[in-house]
Amino acid sequence: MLPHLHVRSWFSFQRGGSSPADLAERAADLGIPALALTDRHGVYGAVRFQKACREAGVTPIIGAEVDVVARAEIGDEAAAGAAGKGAATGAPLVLLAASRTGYTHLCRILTEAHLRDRDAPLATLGELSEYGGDLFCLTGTTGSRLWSLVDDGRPEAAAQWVRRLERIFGDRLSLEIANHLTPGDKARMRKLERLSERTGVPLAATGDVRYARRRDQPRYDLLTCIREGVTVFDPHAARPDNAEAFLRSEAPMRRLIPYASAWDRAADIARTCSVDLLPDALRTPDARYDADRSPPKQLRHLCREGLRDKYPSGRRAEARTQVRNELSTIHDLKLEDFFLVVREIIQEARRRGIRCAGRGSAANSIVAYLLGITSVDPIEHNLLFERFLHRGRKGTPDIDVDFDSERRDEVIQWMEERFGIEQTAMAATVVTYRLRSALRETAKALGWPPDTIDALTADVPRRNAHQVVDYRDRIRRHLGDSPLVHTLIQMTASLHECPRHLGLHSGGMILSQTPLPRYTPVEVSANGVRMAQFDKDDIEALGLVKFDVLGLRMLATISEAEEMINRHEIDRHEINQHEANRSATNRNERIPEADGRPAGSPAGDGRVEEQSAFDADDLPPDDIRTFNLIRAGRTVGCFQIESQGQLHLLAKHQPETFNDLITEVALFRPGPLQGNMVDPFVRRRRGQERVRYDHPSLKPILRDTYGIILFQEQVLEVAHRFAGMSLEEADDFRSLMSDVRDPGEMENMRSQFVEGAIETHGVDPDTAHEVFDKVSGFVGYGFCRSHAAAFAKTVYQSAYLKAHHPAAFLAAVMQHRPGMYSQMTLEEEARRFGIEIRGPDIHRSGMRFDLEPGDDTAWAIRKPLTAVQAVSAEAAQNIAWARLEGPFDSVEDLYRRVDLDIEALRALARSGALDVLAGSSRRALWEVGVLHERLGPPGVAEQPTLFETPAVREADVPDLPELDPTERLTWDLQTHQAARRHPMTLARRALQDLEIRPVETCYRFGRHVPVRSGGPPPRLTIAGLAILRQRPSTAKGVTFVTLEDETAFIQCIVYPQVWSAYEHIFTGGHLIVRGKLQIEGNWRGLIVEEAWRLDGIFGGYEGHPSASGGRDRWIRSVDPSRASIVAPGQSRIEAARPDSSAGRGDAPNGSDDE
Amino acid sequence: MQQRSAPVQVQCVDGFPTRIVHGNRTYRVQSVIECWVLQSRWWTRDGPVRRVYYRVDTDRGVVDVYRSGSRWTLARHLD
Repeated sequence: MLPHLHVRSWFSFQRGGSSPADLAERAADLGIPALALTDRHGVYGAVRFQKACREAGVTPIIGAEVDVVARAEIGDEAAAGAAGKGAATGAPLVLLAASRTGYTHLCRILTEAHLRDRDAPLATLGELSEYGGDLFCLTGTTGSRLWSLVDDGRPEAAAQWVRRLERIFGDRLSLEIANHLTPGDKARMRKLERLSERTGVPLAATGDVRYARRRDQPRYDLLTCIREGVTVFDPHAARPDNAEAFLRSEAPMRRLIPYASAWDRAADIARTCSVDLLPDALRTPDARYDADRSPPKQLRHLCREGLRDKYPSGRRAEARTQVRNELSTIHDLKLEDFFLVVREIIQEARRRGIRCAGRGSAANSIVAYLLGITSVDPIEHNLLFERFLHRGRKGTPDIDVDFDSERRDEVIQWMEERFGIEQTAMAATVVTYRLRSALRETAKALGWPPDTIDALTADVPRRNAHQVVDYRDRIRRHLGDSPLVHTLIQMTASLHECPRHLGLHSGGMILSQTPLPRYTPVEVSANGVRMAQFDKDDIEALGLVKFDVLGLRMLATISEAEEMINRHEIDRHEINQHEANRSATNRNERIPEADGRPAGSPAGDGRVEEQSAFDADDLPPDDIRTFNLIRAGRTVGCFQIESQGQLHLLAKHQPETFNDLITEVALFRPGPLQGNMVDPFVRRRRGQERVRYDHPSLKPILRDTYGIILFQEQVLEVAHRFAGMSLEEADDFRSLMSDVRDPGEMENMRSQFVEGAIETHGVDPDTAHEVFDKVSGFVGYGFCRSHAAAFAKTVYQSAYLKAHHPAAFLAAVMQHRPGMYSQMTLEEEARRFGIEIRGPDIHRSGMRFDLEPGDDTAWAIRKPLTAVQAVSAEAAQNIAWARLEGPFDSVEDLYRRVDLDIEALRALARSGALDVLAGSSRRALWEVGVLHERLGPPGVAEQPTLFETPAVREADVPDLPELDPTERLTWDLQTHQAARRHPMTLARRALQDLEIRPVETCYRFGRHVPVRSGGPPPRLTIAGLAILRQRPSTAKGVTFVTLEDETAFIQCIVYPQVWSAYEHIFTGGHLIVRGKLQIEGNWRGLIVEEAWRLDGIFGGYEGHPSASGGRDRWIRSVDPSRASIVAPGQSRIEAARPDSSAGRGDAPNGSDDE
Repeated sequence: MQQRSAPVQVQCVDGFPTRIVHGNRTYRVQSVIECWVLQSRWWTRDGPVRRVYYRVDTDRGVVDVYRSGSRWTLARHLD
């Protein structure tokens, strides 16, 4: 039986047309005993290929096509030798790993090539000489140096090239012959045969396979067109002439290549190659610690210390039992080193003052808690270890740790130093074609014009769109009855799951005991990070350990706020004095409980409290002021609880304790939301509804969530206790159920569950089915309790900071922007908290948002120079350095002293940052213009001599009018994203005339204005800027538009029929709406009945995104002129809703990079 | 080289042409020099067009003929 030694898969990224699994399956069907995978420049598909081959019963051979320059090293002109002209150009060789050593050599060669040039990886003959051991070399096919020389009729040069390669590979070199039935193939085979006779190097026959079956060729051709940027109608040298590069069985291969010895050689090579990439055991790096103990002893020792420190003697016994159980599992899985290594990383981060927080299921482990990896007590919160780890688990457990996003790179750098640069790299992600990108690229290759493609793809959601057939009608609406539409749909579907390129994993850092090329080539990502050629699953399959180093902007926000609070303590006494003088007036401030006063400001009696440094990790638990803020829904900027949906939930749920925050986080997930669990939960919690359990055995599991499944751990426990599975089986059940798409498989799981429940408890089948339905509806769509608990801690920290230190917190939020609101909304929020916002100032502004003592309030937030459009961090640094030599005394002084981009200088002038130098923004801008004309670019002209007149004389500047409010607003919005006054203030007088109320009015109802219970809801007309539009998949087509004015913001609820009627208005920037007021505690919503545009009310101003549409989530505005695209019988809302199927995980629960 | 594109009758043995009849002319195939395949237009409604070419040495010189489905065409005369 013949092997195939030269086979590309679609992991050649647009240079191969089939998946590794397809190839393996096809090989098995054809009785091919051994199959190589030789993708371009990598082994990206090797792990999947090996798994697929194992399943199919085919022997896998791992190799790669590597482009090689005919030189010992890059830049080695003298050594070009026989290859001469063109030696600097890479040409492919096929390298096959004979053994694990050969595989390591292959990885080495690929690593060197990729690290040298990520866009055009080239290996050198020098590298082949160094790492050629245990590698078979085939001379390559189309594009190879040998075939080119043979085709060009240069037998001497061809023979010289073969001899050079022979010196490197010896008897492991073969001349590759293949036949794709293209003109010249037969003649070339004869020439290669003669060359083989002349040089004594044997021929080896291959299929040079590019796809599994002939029918896969269109995908291969399409991918080639996509890669080369041509349409299918354009000829291109890289496009295939025919569809003959598929996997063939022995008989047709022998007919195509009638050289028996070449097949014998191929079979010999295949027999020799043996590489197993899939080990049974993990290889964790060695932990490092200052003690002469084995890792298990060290882990036990640390747990003992942790028990002593974290658990009082009364609670220690239970904790000790749990520790013992966990250590036993950890020992059986040989994970002691892994836990110790993770501890080491966390400790180092903390030592450097880098905020970090373990999250995910790791928080279910008391060992992780005792080692300081996580900070949630699993005993106190009743967390189940088996959700995290059990003996049946393969691979390393997932320990995700969030780090301060701004300092995450420091952690990565340290890890590279600690574990060795050769032993570390980031995991990759294989970016595959999604429906939208596949549709776009296919349509482009089929020749549709760009405008049509833009409109077409805009009609398909970015996420959660899977089946192209679901969008067939929309496609036809855009493209009409073109005969190519069918091809477009078919070929778009064929790109499903096809890799597009390799990306960088968000945080998966591989830690290896030995240098990584033993397992994977290493290459460089687009942003210069070393990354493996495998994704996280493949990394785990290779037996490597991955540790998730994630960046969380909220942690950076908390650290920044903490630093600001502590730094400004220096000014504390001065501020306190200031405050003491004003204390009487302060009591009348709009928001007395959160007045922006810094820590240490005087208490009511004027005493100054002594405070030590503020530590956001050491906050008092269940702080009243913090929970008041949360319950009042004043949480803009807070982690996870700032969205309109969360505000509504907060109003219903009214959290009072940390545990309530855990449920708050968990409730706002698609599982509980879609399963209509939220309202029953709230009612039961308030005692308005009786708590009931489907079966008494569920009571201990669901008691603390009032009989409702809220956490993944509960699913596990239900499967364990109710359906009688072991904990390991229960976790596998939970895990499997999250991924099951096949209805048949789901039915099997149902049977297993129901039978188990009947057998264990004698439950009646109806009840068992009912419980299964609840479990299956929830699983995969909800948080695990440990994850929610870890998040809740960050929620609490952020809310505490906002309640007690709003100025520092909001300045930090503005700096890091962890959430979903615009700068303008954040500034409005700060004003609502009595904090003054100060614009950029050339003398006072720095690189970051900072605090200054306020005039009317304790603190003001000063916007940095970097907040100004076109002012880069480097430009702001230049200004700051120049300032060290003395303040600027004029715009000209600044112009001469600082090397700035002219656009940055103009933006600074328009932003008001130069008002202090010129007296007004308009004059500053004028002066910049004059200086540019007279002195050339900024920072170039020499300082004027003592007797020289200034470049800008008084006569050069006419009498310029002051900016009117509209101009000021425009300039502010355009240059630093937020105005000093809310844009709606300009319209207020006109709105009052029309009896349109400020948004704040909505909040008066139910507080100052009584609303009769059961009576008709108040009807109000309000106006504002649409700062956010959302249509979550859980909302059944309802759109939520957040409307903001200078007094407050409110969620407007727009039902589909209203949206349909007023869509062109809702997609505009500013609107007037009338509707019924909905009151829920401190939350207000307006159920919109009518809407109007607010056009022209700002004098035609439409300049800034914030004022012309805000940020959209999941929906796009639809140009009214395209209204005709709506098909008869289809509502406009359907036409406007590309993402009506936005699915799980899309709940609008904040936008931090969790 | 003469470009032709004319339908012809072809007799085959084991799939290879042995006799080509073009109008009242008959070409007796002495050897098959090369065989190649061109396939394109997979995107059309009718599916791909596949042509199997044979360069054959005949008693009247070297000619290229191709088969597309069951139809044969004389593509060119190389002498």
